[in-house]
Amino acid sequence: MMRSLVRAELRLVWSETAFRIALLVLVIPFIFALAVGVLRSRAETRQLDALVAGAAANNAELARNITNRSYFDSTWSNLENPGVVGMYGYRALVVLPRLPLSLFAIGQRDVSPTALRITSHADPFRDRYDALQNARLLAVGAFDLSFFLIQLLPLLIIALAYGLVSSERDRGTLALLLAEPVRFAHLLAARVLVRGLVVAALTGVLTLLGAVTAGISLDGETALRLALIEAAILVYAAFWFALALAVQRLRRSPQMNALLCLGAWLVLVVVGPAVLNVSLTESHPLPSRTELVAATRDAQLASNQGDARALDRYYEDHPDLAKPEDAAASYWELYALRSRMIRTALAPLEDRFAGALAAQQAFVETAESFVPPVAVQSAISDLAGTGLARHRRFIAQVYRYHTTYRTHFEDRSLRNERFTAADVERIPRFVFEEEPRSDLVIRTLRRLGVLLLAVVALFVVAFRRADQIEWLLSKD
Amino acid sequence: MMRSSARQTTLGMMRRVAVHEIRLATRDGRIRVLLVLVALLGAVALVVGQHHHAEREALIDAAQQLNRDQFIGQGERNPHSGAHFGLHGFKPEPALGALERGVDDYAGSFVLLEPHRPNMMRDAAAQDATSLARFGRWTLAGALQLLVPLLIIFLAAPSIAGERERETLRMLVAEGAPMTYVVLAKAAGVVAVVLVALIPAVVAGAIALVAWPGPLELGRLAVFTAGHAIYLAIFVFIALAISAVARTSQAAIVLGLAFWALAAVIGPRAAAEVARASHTLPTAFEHAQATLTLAHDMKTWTALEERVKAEAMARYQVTSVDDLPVNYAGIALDLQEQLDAPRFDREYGRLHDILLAQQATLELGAVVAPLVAVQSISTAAAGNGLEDQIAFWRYSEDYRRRMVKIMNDHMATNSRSTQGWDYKVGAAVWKLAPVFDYQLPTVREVVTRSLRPFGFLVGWLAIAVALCMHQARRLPRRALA
Repeated sequence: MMRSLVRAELRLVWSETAFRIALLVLVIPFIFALAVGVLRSRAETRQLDALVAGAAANNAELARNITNRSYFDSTWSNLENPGVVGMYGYRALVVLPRLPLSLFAIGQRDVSPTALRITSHADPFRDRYDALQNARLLAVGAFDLSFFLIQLLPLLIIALAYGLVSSERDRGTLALLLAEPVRFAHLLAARVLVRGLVVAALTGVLTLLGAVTAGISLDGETALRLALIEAAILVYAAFWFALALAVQRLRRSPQMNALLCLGAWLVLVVVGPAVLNVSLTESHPLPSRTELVAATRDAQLASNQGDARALDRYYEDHPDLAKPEDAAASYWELYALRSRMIRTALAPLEDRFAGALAAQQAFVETAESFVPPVAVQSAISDLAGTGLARHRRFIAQVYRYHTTYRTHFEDRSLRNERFTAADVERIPRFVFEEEPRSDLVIRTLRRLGVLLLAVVALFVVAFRRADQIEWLLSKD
Repeated sequence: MMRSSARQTTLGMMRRVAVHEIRLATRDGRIRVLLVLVALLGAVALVVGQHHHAEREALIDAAQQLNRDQFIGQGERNPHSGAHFGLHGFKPEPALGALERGVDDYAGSFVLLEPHRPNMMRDAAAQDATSLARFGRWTLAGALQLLVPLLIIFLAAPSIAGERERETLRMLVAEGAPMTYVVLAKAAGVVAVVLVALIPAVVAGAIALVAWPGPLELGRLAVFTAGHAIYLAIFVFIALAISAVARTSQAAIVLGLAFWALAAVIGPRAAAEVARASHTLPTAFEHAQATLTLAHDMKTWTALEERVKAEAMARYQVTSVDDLPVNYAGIALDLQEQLDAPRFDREYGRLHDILLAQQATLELGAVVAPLVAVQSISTAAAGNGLEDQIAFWRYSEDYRRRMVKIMNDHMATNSRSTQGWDYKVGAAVWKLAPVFDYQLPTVREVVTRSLRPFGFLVGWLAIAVALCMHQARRLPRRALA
């Protein structure tokens, strides 16, 4: 019975011009957003490949220059001095890998660092290597698939679903439908199902098309992420269908239902996230970056003033080490000691900053449960590999690698060791550690699960006693 | 006398229509809710914006002062080493930053000023923001650009269509007054209701303005207000035009919302993507490579030092470095800065040209999305647009060169080559660094910059008014059909 209802509804709906226009409205921006994602991804891949190749070439040349002694012998260019190599010679490239599905959501990739050069300098973010951005264009916002799905798809669904019951009532055809030997609840379900399936099929096909066009290989990990993205889109679409149906329980005119749904869209997509953002910044403010600048300078001053004493104390503590005889070695040993003093002084502030960021993230992960667009955007960004969690994980790993890298060269400087070509291979490399797949899946399912609860609740409201003729035929 | 009497009758009718419009709006529960929502959100946006603005301003002022104090208190060091300790230039918080955040959250809040290399702006607030920030920031400008147009659509779109539904349109036509005047009166009614909704924000703004310690920036406020007034007027007339054409009031609202979605949500973002693709920016790496100082290559640097040493000895006619009355290292350092400067100007100029070209392409999107134009005006007035970021960077670079030159010249002329890098100075020399005092562009510059976007908005308004009046003139035929 349901199958025949669905088939009949499909034929009916396809004959409606408005429906075909709505589908066109779905397809055109979807394709535009996909194209944007594909073009951006390709550009970023080209840039990252060039950076990686450049770093490899630089480091190979470093080894050759050390072997051939092809360097200018000065305090800042003697490649056999580990201090020089750590600061200038070696190109320690640190990259947040771009996941194949990043074309679906730009997320944090255009505002957070994704490619850096780490040196022995105190500031790990001094040398960013990623794409430069236009602040004006960033302020306007990106037209990626995430934007289309979160902000525009609901409008389309509202257009498809706002009058499923009320328009029949207004046209006077509802009574005729009720006279048919079929439960109205089934008929309603068929209508929602057809529209939902068309939206789901289109978004699914277009998403896959985008993945294929971008040359994405659907291996296990990528396929899982893509499947979860599709699931997120489906649950989100179901939410808006359910909302549109539930609104019709108020027995208003179809146009009033459209307005109410649009009001809900306004609150959930425009006002809600903005109000949430204000609450977040008020309740969980971050320490100011200017504070970090001031603290870094204070630490630098303190380390400068402690210079000579620090070096003398160091050699008292390490009688096995010989004091350097030349000024260059002294310079880099002092630099190493100074760096350690600065790092120790800044650690509490950096921890406070990291703690505040984590508190903000926790707040958002809780609060987003009440604002479906935020939850679904976070889910899609997470799955695309451009979400906040992955970027913050990258930043934390950059800090750790920076410490490892600096310690590697500081130790060698303080031991007054000669750097050799063979040592180039022993320099610690950065390898980004992705979070365990299970964490991502659990987080996604939790988000979608909460949303699914809302969907079920709304559908229950929409279908409760859906066959009651008094409700169906009466108007407000 | 007859003409005067007819004019008075028309004016009286217009006043009646406008008042009727206001009464209808205030009686409608939905409109009351929307009015309260807009009033509340607008006022909250302003109060919160003002609070953050005051906080940021205090923070930046304190940071700039502390930064200078740290520079002066860095103890005894060689002048060039002291310059390497550096200063930071913090972009000051503009007076209208409470109303409009502009690009400040995305462009970086400070720049490090040190020898040998210009630096990019650092640590944009957006990189620490959560995913919520991608939905937009809540400011008064945001409320005026996104929310108030929605209120206008809900007020104006049902205005004429509703008259048709209630069959009162025929009575209006029968009164004989030209429908263009009737529609203008309806527009006036809508504007009056919108102004009522903005009263809380205006009051909060006036209080903030009175309490503001700095100059009042009334000129900038006037530009900000004018831009938004024209922008909102576009929505009034477009919504009335739609109302004149639509069969039902709810259909008019839906069409009006479709226009809003295109003009204020979809259009700007699509234009931004086109702008991004139209002119390619280099990566930070490519730019850094193009702006490496010649001192980066120690061989080149050493050769430069030797050249300067030889020239100095020839100038002072000495045969030994010990006899030079100047420190050639200081001269070489200054020469390096002079040799690098044209390349830095060229490369950063190229970068800024690309950024501005992208913005110009974005602003062409105002043909479809007037929001783009009003945002250009808003950020120009507030002093936190892209041009302001570039102007701040140029001031910073100019400051950097002056500060470094002072230190290098002091090293060159106040020490001898035999002292080399052992020459040390203290606070008296550090104080020679000028005070970092960036000033926002003048109101005249703001107006000049805003001419193009104003042109787009005025063009839009002309089309909206023409469309509305054209539909108004056709109303009698439709009403009586």
